[in-house]
Amino acid sequence: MTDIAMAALPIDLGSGPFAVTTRALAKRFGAVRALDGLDLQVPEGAVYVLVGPNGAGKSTLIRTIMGLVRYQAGAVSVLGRDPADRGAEVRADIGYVPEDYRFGYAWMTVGRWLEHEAVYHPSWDAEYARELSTRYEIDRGRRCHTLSKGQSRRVQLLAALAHRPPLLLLDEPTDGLDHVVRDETLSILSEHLADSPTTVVISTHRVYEVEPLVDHVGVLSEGRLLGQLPRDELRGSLLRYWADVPEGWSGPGELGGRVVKRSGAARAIEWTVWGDRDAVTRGLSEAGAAVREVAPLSVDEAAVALLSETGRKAS
Amino acid sequence: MKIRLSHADGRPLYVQIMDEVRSGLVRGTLRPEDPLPSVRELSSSLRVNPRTVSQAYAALERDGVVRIRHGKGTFVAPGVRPDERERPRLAREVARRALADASRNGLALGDLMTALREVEGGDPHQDGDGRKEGGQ
Amino acid sequence: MTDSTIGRIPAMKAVWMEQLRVVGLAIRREAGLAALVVALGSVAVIGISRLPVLQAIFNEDMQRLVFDPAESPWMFIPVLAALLLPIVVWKGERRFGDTPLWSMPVDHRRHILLKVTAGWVWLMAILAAFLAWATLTTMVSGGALGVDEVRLLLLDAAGASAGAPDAMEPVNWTTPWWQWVLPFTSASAAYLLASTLVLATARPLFWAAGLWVAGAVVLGIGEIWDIGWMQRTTEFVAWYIGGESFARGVQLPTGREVVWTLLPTVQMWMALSAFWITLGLAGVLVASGRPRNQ
Repeated sequence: MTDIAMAALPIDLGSGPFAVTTRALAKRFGAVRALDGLDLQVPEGAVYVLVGPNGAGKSTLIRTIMGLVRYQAGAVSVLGRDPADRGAEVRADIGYVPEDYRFGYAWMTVGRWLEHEAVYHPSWDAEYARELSTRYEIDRGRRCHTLSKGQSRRVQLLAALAHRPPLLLLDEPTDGLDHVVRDETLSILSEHLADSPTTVVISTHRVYEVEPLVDHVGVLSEGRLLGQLPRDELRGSLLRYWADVPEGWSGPGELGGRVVKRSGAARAIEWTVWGDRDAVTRGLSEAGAAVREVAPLSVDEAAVALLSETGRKAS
Repeated sequence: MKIRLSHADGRPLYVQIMDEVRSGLVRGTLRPEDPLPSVRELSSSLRVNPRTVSQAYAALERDGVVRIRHGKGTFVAPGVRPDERERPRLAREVARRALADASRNGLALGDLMTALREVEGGDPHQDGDGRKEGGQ
Repeated sequence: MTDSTIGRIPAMKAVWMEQLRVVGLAIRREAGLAALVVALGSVAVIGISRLPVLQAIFNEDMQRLVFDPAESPWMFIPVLAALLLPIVVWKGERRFGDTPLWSMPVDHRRHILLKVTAGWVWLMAILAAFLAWATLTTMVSGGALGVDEVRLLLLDAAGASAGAPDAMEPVNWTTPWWQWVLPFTSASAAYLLASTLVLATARPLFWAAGLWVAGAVVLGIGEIWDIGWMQRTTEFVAWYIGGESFARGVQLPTGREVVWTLLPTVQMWMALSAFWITLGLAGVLVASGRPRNQ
């Protein structure tokens, strides 16, 4: 790997307007750096997915946006406000699905819990809540502590959507949902986005489950962003190249892109390269490789490629 | 009109939606002045971001294929003549994909042409399943 | 996104009413259990007073119930309830983790204070119901509401044991009006102090036990070394929070008698109430500002 310089993907999304931004955000828990100089930019109206391994800081970031965590350095702006000192107003604008599916008020019935949520959100749309209740087959008479993980998630999603907030923060929203309910959730979210102007931030391990909705991607590792860019830019510029190469091939000189990952052996080689497709193809061809196929990566594959690269660098 | 998407496909989703509309025109299932599904309906049934559908419709409008009437919906443009523009265009797109697939398998254009004629003529050994690894 | 929907936080009155309902839901099981125990108690008391069979089993003392709100156990029960109530009020809330309370569009400190207040309102209501019930039970069983007696006030302990006639003074005593309010003020102070522990510490029961032990040690030190002000202080604390009186059994030349070292006054009650309730309020205010997720 000595000839290849790995560099992070772009993280600047330009001038906005942004629904959520953080600048040089830092948060430590004791000696652990949960967030380490994070510059998040979530464009207004985007469906932004945060991907990263466990402990990358996804949940801490989401909870910071909610004003549930006190950050130590940097700046946060959520719809123009700092959650550290205007937490109540910030939370009023957020539909939040926490990572934890357990209810605080376990002794309440689901119906009572939803009433509770409605009291706190003056913009609660009771008719919409009923419609979602039907689509999600929510039994309002059950006690919250008897709900399964998936049933809890549905109730939480309903509560997050029903007041039609300008910002949705979904921490592992599909966790515990079976295939049918997950599919229904995607359909509900699609309609919700078409009906109400909403910015969505999703944190998840299972990007493939929400990928069709996503239009922006942020890859988080060790409290820092490795990349933050529109989905289409990722699709267009982070590509996998398969090429046949001659025996004893020494590799391309300058590829005109940044190699994220290289594998393969002998005469067939696979590269994952960030860069202009034509330039990279030309570079490979000029070096004597016959490019057979170029294909974009799914968000999941892109994340794995980026994260495994940093993992190798760190070790 | 039925629109199908494949998440394993290399084309962006909005391009797939555009190609599906074009293919509907070529097959005749979509005719001039026909309404297209609303952004809400289509994004909900495809489970995609409504912006993706809007993007596809806007690009189709730029190409003169559809007309977006505010408050009413999206309709196939009245003057669209599928056989003049859409058919060759779609054919080129299919050809491009076929060529890429051939090249991936180390086949030259000649191999592909020969095989196409054979398959068209009813080759009993056709299996036609070269797409399994398409998304990898 | 119009301005009217941006940052629209709920009305504080609506939140407070909701917390009142939520706390009511949270405590209903425990409150029901307590009501059952109280009801059984009053059935027993009334039974003893009315049924000769039971009268024969129990001794004379138990036949006539004297309801003096400032004395044990009448005082001890409300204060104990007030000490335990915050645990029930905060049931289901992870006070130092993510919990629905913190995710709501209300300032955290304000939200805590609203909930503490809601719990206090319930405490007052429960206490009023308890006192009303106790009054009713006393009346039905033919007991006495308040005391009307002559109390021996100890003026000089050494002189009293020596038999000096002016070492003690007999005082006519009837339960003053403010002793009917005393359970409310004592319970309020206890509730606020217990709320402080619940809000400020991750393990309130551990801290409560620690404070109890510390108090016992201070009491012990005061007794062993006979440090007057320490004994006096613990006496005051015990009287205010536990309904322990200033009465003690003293061996007099005429035999063993209950004498009073001090007869509480309305000024004492007001000063102690002001002190403990202010301390409790300050505690809750400080604890409510504690960061919840570091």
